[in-house]
Amino acid sequence: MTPDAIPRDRLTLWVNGREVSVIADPHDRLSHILRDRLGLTGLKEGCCEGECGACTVLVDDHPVASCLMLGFQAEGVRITTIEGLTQGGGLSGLQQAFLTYGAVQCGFCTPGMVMAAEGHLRANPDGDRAAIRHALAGNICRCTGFALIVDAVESEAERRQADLSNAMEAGA
Amino acid sequence: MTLLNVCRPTSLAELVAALRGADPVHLIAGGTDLLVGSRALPDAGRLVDLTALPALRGIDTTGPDIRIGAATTAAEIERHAGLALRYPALVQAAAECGSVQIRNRATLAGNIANAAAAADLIPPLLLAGARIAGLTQGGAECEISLQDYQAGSGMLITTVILLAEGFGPDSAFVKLGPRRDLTIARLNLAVTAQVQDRQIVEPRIVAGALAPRPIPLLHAASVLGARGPDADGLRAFLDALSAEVDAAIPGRASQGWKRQAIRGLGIDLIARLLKLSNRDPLFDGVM
Amino acid sequence: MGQVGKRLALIDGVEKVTGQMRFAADDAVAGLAHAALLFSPHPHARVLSLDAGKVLAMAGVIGVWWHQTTPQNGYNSAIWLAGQQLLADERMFPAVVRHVGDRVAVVLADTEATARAAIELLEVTYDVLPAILSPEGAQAHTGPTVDADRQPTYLNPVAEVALDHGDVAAAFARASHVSQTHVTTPRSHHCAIETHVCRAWPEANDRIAIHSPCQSVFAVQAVVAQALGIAADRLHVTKSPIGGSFGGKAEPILDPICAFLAMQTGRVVQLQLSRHETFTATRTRSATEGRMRIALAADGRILGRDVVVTVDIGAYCTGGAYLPGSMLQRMVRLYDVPAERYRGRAVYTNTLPTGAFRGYGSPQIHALGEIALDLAARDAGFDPVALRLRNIVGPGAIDPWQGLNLGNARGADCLRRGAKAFGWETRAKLAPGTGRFRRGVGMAAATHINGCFPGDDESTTATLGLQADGGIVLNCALHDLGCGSDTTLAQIAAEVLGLGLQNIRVTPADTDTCTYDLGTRASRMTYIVGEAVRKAALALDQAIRDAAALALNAAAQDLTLLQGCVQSARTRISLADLAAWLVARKTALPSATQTHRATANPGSFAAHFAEVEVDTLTGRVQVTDYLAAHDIGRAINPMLVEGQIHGGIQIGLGYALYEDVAVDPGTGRLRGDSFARYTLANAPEMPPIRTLLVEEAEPTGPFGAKAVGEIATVAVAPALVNAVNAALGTRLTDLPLLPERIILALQN
Ligand SMILES: Cc1cc2nc3c(=O)[nH]c(=O)nc-3n(C[C@H](O)[C@H](O)[C@H](O)COP(=O)(O)OP(=O)(O)OC[C@H]3O[C@@H](n4cnc5c(N)ncnc54)[C@H](O)[C@@H]3O)c2cc1C
Ligand code: FES
Ligand code: FES
Repeated sequence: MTPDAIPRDRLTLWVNGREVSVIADPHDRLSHILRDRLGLTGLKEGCCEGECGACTVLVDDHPVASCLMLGFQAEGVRITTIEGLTQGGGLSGLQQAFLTYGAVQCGFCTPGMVMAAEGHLRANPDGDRAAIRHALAGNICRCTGFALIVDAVESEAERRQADLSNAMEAGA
Repeated sequence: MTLLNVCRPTSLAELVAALRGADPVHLIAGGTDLLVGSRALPDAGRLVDLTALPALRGIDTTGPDIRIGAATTAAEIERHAGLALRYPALVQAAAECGSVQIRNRATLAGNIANAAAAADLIPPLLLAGARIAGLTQGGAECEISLQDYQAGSGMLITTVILLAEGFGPDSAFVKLGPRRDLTIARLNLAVTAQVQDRQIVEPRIVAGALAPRPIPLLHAASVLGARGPDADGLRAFLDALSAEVDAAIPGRASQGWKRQAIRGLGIDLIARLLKLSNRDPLFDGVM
Repeated sequence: MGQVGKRLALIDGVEKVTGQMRFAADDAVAGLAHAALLFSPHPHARVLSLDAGKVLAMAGVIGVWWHQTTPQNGYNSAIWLAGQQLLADERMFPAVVRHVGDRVAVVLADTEATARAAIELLEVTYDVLPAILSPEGAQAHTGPTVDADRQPTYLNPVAEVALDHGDVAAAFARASHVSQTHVTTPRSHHCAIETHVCRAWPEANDRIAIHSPCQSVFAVQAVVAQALGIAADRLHVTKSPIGGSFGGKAEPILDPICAFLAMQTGRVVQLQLSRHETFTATRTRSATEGRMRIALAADGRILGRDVVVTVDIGAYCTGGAYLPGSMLQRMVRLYDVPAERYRGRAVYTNTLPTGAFRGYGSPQIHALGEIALDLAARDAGFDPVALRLRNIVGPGAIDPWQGLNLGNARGADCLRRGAKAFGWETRAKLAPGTGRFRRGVGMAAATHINGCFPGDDESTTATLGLQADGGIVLNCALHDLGCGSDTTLAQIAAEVLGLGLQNIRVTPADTDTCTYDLGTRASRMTYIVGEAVRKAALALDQAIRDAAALALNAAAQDLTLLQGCVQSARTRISLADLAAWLVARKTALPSATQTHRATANPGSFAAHFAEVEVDTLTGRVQVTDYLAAHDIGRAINPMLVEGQIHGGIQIGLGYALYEDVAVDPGTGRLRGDSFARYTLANAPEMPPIRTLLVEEAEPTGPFGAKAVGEIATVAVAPALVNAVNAALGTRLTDLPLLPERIILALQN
């Protein structure tokens, strides 16, 4: 098929483990498609300039700013939004940690913050505090001053480490 | 609504086909420059996404030259162990490019083509005498030196080549912006040299955000090479850096600050090159 | 029962961490129309013509409006009551625009993309007028309030406030040390992560519904009614969840336009600003310029102060006319100073309007007062903490301006305990070093108010009722801005009622169902509304026990509420069973309404301590350690209190070091008009923070509680500036301390 023949108004995206088909304008940003077409309004937009991180989603497990990606660029990759973390109902460990550590105030930055933290923990399970702060540098929170967010992510890293070593012991 | 059509070639053949027959052709890679905020997007012609082409991605450090696919992301550069060994300056620059979210999308060629004065990847590339291979607007293959590249010329970059003779065994990159992390450089510096027993042999330096394009600091580099990094030599080097600022932006509002700030950044650069802390006693006497 | 003082998670936290919280722009609505605004590129110009031909021909465009086709009622977006006397100099779309970013026209379309594209195609001609871009220029500009076309002009000053207390001349004559300091503070922007947004739609009976992230539904109602020239009861305003405000969403900026478009078109209308537009077309904290002279006695007593401040309030009056008075109020409540002279004036300029921003004048006046006091301490050879301890007000102090009792004022405890925990005495004596990096410690004290008494009638009404399912509903005009006030209030109710947080349901503010309340501002939620909730809870407790007495055949005074049950020594009934029992007997479920009218305004106090490291070559400041001690009375939820303090430090740190929208003195444009050009502290910039809560119960507050929301940010900037000055031996007094300014100071 030549590129010309590909109908570009219909996109096939792979979002939160499901294949979805949407009609989109070539200019439509991934963030808009996820929010407006797919109703994934947990995703927030705070700037549309890549600076605030509110729109962070995971693309193949890596955090990206979905406001700086056009919808058609997202075909063929695995997209995870905040809605994809709670499949099965309950809160993820990271979400629970955000709650109990007071890492949430207004909650507007929170979905993006959780996704950035989730991406970080998937790639860097060790939970080094400085590394967490560095990993969250692209997410602005105007409410919390970040420290309680870093606490929450750190505790979740420890929890996952403990789970891992328990699993290994059980396996051994 | 719009007359724009988009395509996402997955092979070079598709890419070449996509470049033909549409006018105008626009390129998009990570989108981290093109899609920022209110910048107007093209509304006619064809928008070609370069991120689905395996041929435009990847880092090959096995040969004498280093070859990097144009659409390789800053994150991929940051994580590449082979590149970190051979050309740390580029890896360091990539590691300080934006945030995680940006580095996961921002491409090497996008940084080159966007051609910002403060672009962080360009100084190390210029230092390495990089060449860029690609396709002309007509679809013909071409290869030119990065030095000669004109942003907006319509050239599609496919590969960036760092020539073996271009980069010394040792190199470093530092930047200074309003914050530590996720910050646009108000100054950046890259150096390549050969370090022997703390002697810096044949250093070459490029500075960004001092002129519309990154510029070589020939005078400062020669002072550094001639004097060596003892207190007196370093002081002479820092004076030379300040003089470079005076020559580059005379009368500019930022001159007073930059001529001083570059001294701090100069120390950071040398520290990084020598794998020292910038608080090492070596720098105590330099103030 | 054990709810107060607990670190409980937000009652709406699950919705927030899962992304299920429905913010104003989140609900999918069929047929939603989107508006986009055209803004003035000129700081002052007459809008001569608008050609919308191309736009009206576009598919998907519903309409275009500008000053000739919209109501031209003057209004003031800062009022909170109908009929409030405040210069009504705003128009939805003025014929003469007064700042870059003033509103020229609006397009309504089927999609936001179409509306925004259409805006670009509007053709407008302007007659550009001379502009006043600096407060100095403004001082010279006086004139009539309204010109021949009945367009408001610039009467400068907009407001003037003076205080002469005691014999200032004698104080200076007697002083052992006299110092004078000049401080400028920048225009900073709220940067709530949710940009400004509003939705409006027609409702039955010729009414308009407005759903808006606001700080007071009643203020929205009053402002929109004034702007549209309609009766307030035609407007039904509900508060949506809010993605941060900090004062930035206190004034309804979009709501009048949104309501007007809904009225005109019958559509559900959404108007949402882009990030850039929130910078250029909403509000900022006012820039101020102040001079303070301080007369110190040999023993460190402050004998007198002489203060002159100019506040640049921008292009419209809004609440700016109140600022000189607010700043004075905050200034005189910190130290016991026998002689004070204060002259404060607010002036118009052709720059974007200013408004509330976390502290309403407090950050500005404390920057002046606390930097000036530190430099005075240095010159006279006093330790900054000792000097403050010598002068700080104590419990029961009376302020010299309003004559109010400051309540259980515990500033001295903050200073003493904070200094000890920080290790002030040792650290303040350490030499800053002589190398490239210099270390210094600095501190500042602060005070802030608790509510609007005596300026406003501080009454609020709370209703608590038992529901048929055994839950308790709290109804009160509540505006949780994200700081967790709903949780705090629910904790207060739960404490009294022997319940857990999960038993309390909180309803957001709605003009149709709630009694009037001033809204979330002036640090009044916990102290004022909390007390109303506590009283209502006590009354409900009584009502429930009365009802249960019948059900259990017991005496009400023998019953207590505990863990969701009403019980005596021998019998018990759960609230759910009690509700069912009452419903079955067709008896009304117990509910209680109480009005609390505050007649006090005690002070909250704080002392902040900071360590910084300054790079003397690059001028970069790194904050390396931070301790905040707060006189909180009683922390209803210490975790939320700490969250407020941490967040306040993030904002204050930016205020001290980088945040400035920087109005270009030549063009009137903002240089800091995007997140890329307006630096905010991100996670790596933040220091380790310790908080220390002084909990010495304020007798007039609920369970002894006082406010923390605004004061959290007030002491930060002066503490940091003082630390930088200590590290460098400089006298930096122009905020923010940009690297350029630091390098320049070091060179001089
Ligand atoms: C929040 C944020 C922070 C940032 N921080 C930094 C930073 O610290 N340092 C820094 O240097 N930059 C930074 N940037 C800028 C940007 O990320 C980089 O310049 C990036 O490398 C651009 O690459 P891209 O693939 O995203 O380019 P795109 O936006 O996709 O394209 C940019 C331009 O390059 C052209 N182009 C792309 N690929 C090719 C090609 N193969 N051949 C020819 N032309 C091509 C496009 O047509 C377009 O004109 C930041 C950006 C953002 C949004
Ligand atoms: S909305 Fe995408 S980074 Fe701010
Ligand atoms: S919780 Fe409000 S912005 Fe982070």
